[in-house]
This record gives sequence, C-alpha cells and structure tokens, in this order.
Amino acid sequence: MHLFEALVVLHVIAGATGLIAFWVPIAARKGGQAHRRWGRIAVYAFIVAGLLAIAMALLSLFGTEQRLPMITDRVLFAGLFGWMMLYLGMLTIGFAGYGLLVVRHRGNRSALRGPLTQSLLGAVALSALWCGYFGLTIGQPLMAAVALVGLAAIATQQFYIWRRAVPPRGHVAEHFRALLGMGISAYTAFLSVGLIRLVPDHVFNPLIWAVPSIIGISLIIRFTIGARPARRPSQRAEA
Amino acid sequence: MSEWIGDNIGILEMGFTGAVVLGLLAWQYWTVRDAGKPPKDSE
Repeated sequence: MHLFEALVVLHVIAGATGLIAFWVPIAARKGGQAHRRWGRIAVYAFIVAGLLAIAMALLSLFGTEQRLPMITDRVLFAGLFGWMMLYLGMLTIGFAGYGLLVVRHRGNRSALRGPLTQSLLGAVALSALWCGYFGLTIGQPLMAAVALVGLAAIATQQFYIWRRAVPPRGHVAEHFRALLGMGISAYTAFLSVGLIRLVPDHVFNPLIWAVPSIIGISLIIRFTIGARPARRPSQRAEA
Repeated sequence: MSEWIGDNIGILEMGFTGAVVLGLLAWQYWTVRDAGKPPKDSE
C-alpha cells in the first residue's frame, strides 16, 4: 500500500469516529460525563483527521504528477485538493484546540494569549489567507469565501481572548461555537472533498458546501441564545 | 453600542457566515441560470 492510500485509510477511520462522536455531546446534558467523554473523543479524532488531511494535502501539492497523472488541470487540483484541503485541516484543528483550551482556561483568559493558542490561531489565519489568495488567482471565489469564514471565526476568537472584560460564562458560547465550527469544517470537508469523489460533477455545487453550514449555524444561534446570561453588568469578568 | 457589539459578536459572526453561504448559493444560481443564454450583443 502506498503512503497516500495508508493516510486515506487512517483519515477515514479518524474522521468517521469524529463525525459520529460529534453528535453525542450535542444531544447529551451539557457538562455531564457523556458530554465530556464523547466530546473529547470527537475532538481528538478530528485533530488526528485534520493532521492527516494536511499530510495528504502536502502530498497532493508536491507529489501529484506521480499520484494522479490522469488529472490535467493541475492548478485547480492544487487549489482544491492541496491548499484548500490544507486550510480545512488547519481550520478543524484550530477549532478543536480552541474549543478545548477556552474551557480549560475559562478562569484565566490571559493563558489564551500564550504561544500555544496564538500560534494555533496564527497558523489557521495564514492558511486561510493563502487559500483565499490562491482561490482568487485561479478564478475560484468559492475558495476565497470559505477562507473568509475562517478568518471571521479567528477574529471573533481573538476578540474574546484580548477583550478587557467578558460576560459571565462567556466561555460557554466560545466553546460550542468553536466545536460546532469544528463540526461544520469537518462535515464540509467530508462532503466536498471526500464524498464528492462519488459524484465529481458536483465538486463546486454550493449546496454541497452549504448544508453543514446551515445546520451548524442554526445550532450555534440556538445554543448562543439559550446560553445567554441575564444582563448583570457588575458580573463582567476581567482577565 | 460597542459593548452590545462585543457581547453579540458570536451572533454577528454567524450572520456574516450565513450571508457568505447564501451569497455563494445565489452566485451559483445565477451562474447556472445564465449559462444557457446567448450573449446580449448577439441578440
């Protein structure tokens, strides 16, 4: 078995684990044992799947001639299966890491200003910028739009980290927005890069891309409104 | 006002993301709808 095929198998195993486990913490009682246990399984599975996606993207970028010689549009291939896959892998890892870190450091936001979180978010931002730029240069605005969504997420995460004071339990909204974002990213990658191999004619069908976002955004808005605390300005927590 | 924006930045981000996704859908709809039409100068 070649290296790329081995990576695909491992990626599918890790990704399928994450895609299934992802729904348990959404349905389970928040903060309960099942929520935390299955949430960790989903997060670690997606981190592994994301790392493998990055490895496959790098192989696609720098070993494509040997791997799939029948593909003639090398630039489009590099954009879709190279730089965008690399960005989606980074985005998934970034969301997963931030979603855990923001809970771990809920009482001490200054810890999120350290090199671990900042290098994680910085790597996601850099990959998004390059994905968007590359997409525009090859005439694929879809790549730029996907990159824009990730950049907006990074901006709001940095806003929470560096803000002077945050509402009580503000980390809860950050936590589920990041981890639902992780799910959106993973399901988008699954539909657009993985499952799409069965129906390659629909590779740029925006409906394929939109379904995870529509479901995920609806869940995020629902949880955000549900988790919003009563207005008590005196309870704002400074870091 | 700025405090309200700060407290609701998550909702605003989701609104932005939703607008981008819907924009992509609209863009694809018009691209497909206009694909079969002849150019205006040939009419």
